[in-house]
Amino acid sequence: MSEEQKISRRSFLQTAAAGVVGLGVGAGIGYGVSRMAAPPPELVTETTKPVKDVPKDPIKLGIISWFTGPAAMVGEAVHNAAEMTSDVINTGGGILGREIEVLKRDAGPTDVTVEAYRRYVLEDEVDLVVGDIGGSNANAITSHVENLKVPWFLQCSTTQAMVEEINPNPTFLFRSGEQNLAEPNIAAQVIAKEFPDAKKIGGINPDYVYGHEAMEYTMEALNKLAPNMESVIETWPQLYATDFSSQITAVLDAKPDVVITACWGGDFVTFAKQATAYGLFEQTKVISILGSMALNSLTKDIVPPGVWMLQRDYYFELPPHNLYPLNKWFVEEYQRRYNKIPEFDVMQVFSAVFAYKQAIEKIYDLKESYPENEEICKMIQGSQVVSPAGHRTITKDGQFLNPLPYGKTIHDPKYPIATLDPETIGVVIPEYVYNPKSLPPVLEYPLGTGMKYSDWIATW
Amino acid sequence: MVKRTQKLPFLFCFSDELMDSATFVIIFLNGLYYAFALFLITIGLNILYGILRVLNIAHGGFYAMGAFITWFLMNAAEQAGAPIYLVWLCIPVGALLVALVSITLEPILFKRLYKLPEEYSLLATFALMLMLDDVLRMVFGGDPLSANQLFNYMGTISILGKTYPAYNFVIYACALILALGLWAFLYRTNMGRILRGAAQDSSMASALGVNTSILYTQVFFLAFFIAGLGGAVYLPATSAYSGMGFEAIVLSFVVMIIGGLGSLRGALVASLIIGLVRGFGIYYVPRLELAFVFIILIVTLIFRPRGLFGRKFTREEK
Repeated sequence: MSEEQKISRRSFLQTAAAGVVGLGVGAGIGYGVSRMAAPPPELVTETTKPVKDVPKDPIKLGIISWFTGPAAMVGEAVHNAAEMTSDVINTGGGILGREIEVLKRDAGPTDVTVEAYRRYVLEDEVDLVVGDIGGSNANAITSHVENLKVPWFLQCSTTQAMVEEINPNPTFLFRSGEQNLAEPNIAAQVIAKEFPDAKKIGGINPDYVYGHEAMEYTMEALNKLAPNMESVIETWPQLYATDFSSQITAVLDAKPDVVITACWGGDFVTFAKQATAYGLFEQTKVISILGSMALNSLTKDIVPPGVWMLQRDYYFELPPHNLYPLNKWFVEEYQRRYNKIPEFDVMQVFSAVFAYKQAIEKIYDLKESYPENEEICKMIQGSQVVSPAGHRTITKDGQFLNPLPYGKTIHDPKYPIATLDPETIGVVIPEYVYNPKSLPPVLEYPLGTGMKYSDWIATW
Repeated sequence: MVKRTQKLPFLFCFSDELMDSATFVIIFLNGLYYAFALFLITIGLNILYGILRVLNIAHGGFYAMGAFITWFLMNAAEQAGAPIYLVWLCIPVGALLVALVSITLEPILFKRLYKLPEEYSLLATFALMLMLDDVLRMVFGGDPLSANQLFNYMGTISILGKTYPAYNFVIYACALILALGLWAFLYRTNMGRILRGAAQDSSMASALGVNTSILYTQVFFLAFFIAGLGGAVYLPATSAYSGMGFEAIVLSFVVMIIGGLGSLRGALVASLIIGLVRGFGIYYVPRLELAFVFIILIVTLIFRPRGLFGRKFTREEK
């Protein structure tokens, strides 16, 4: 036996051990994928043309989001969503035969986030990016995305400044979650509809751009829909606060009829716990704009029945599972994998990646060659995509149009968390408003005209 | 134009009316609650610095670890249908587990920092803090975790007609017992005298036959136990979440600086000042919540840079 062919006992054992581990991991992955229930037919799309001259290397899907710090729950949801979506697509044969490979990088301050994107593009050569990075980061990233031409699908990080001023007509930047001002609009409509006799409004909102926009624009919209209402107290706990007792006491002392809160994540959990203890939910009506971000942490001893909650653009029971099997499959598959109910970020990532897939297949159908990024992005603009929340229309400026569900909480024995009372669930399209005091009573946001959302509210 | 009743909506949203006595009492109690929570977070950090001159940024990580481990214990107790006294027991057990886990780091990391300048402590413990935060997130996930049994068990009480969470009194009691216990330990026991002596001159203490190595390990154990206790006691009133240690450590340093580095009395007084000023400040000028703490810090640094109860710097330290 030559020197090269000799196998020592140690190397043999190492090889054997590696093989056993590899088999185990492979079997585990195979088991995981094989247990996945077959996706509904809506998700199984493919080109009608024979696939040829398509790159063989995987499509790299980069995630940039918060994986550390108090917002880590967002990164976790985005990552879970990307992982599940890529598995579904890969199991169905990938995108024109190309599998999706998921990468992830942590977001941070603006320079870190921009660096993460640039490294994805220049070093890792990713094909698309998804993830939430916060409003100020999103404002900063837009020019880099347009310059480097690798599409980014943002979820919640959509300040009005970004949408309307910094990058009003993006090519490569998409928002698969609704723009920030949609929520104040819906909150105002819910308050005007559900509490027509209310006069005094209070606020407990996080002290940063989103919290201020939420309160400011809810009051702007209420000014039009219910001019009898006025803000009597506005408190601004710091973001990631652990104590809301002083704010709650100050708000209770002002005796508002309705309290608006845009606290989210762990902030909302702590707020709700302390609000219950101080009797806030008993003494006034509370409407939560973004508490649903921590959906799986909103246990029944934290959130009592009767709290009005907006659900951003997805609520796991809508569309009803018996009427829309795709949503049923989506919820069950996510629960099977992660033992959690899918939050809205999950749906937003899922629909974004499917929009990307669908665009590539459509272009291939038309020209029988693999498209460039710009072609893909232009195909996505103005298209429709299937999602667990129903079909989504994407505007020419890359905004996914999403109806926003809301409702009043109940304690349903089926779930460990506070859910929405089906009797109270409503769905509002942010691009429309019903204002019975104006003519015509249903007003439509003039999409594509460049009109600012706040200017539209001023016309109500 | 949005209608608001406040006179100056942008910055000075003063309330139009003076508060009634019930509201005054509740705000006072809220201030105490925040103060004692701050004190619980800060005191372990202060002990370490006061005795060993180690600035332990990772203290926030041990505080967070206390909250997460206690959440795990309380959750397990709830799943097992354990009686409420066992759930109470989770608090000291959680703190003890933090101390036991953390103490293993003393010979590996902290012992090497005793003789080095404080900048090394800051850098090394900051790195440790980052690692602790990541480990906690990997083990417990990114979602906020809440353990509500004790908070709900204690329920609410009525104070002058206002609803108030009774669990807050547990935090008051815990902080006061800890403050008194530590004072008695440091100033009324032989062990305390030895500790203070070793803090002033460790070489002399060694020369007099004190095993400073064991002494330091005991100090670390105590500091980690208190850090874990802070997280464990605070958990039922709030939630455990990734990154909570970073939020805590910033405020802890502010308390330390205002009170005087290493001063037990200073930590208590500074916590009370911050808690009460913040509580009443939020009522009158809600927009300036975060500013209150730092205004107090700046005023202290201008007029009394060594803190309210800090020792004078020596010529070399200056």
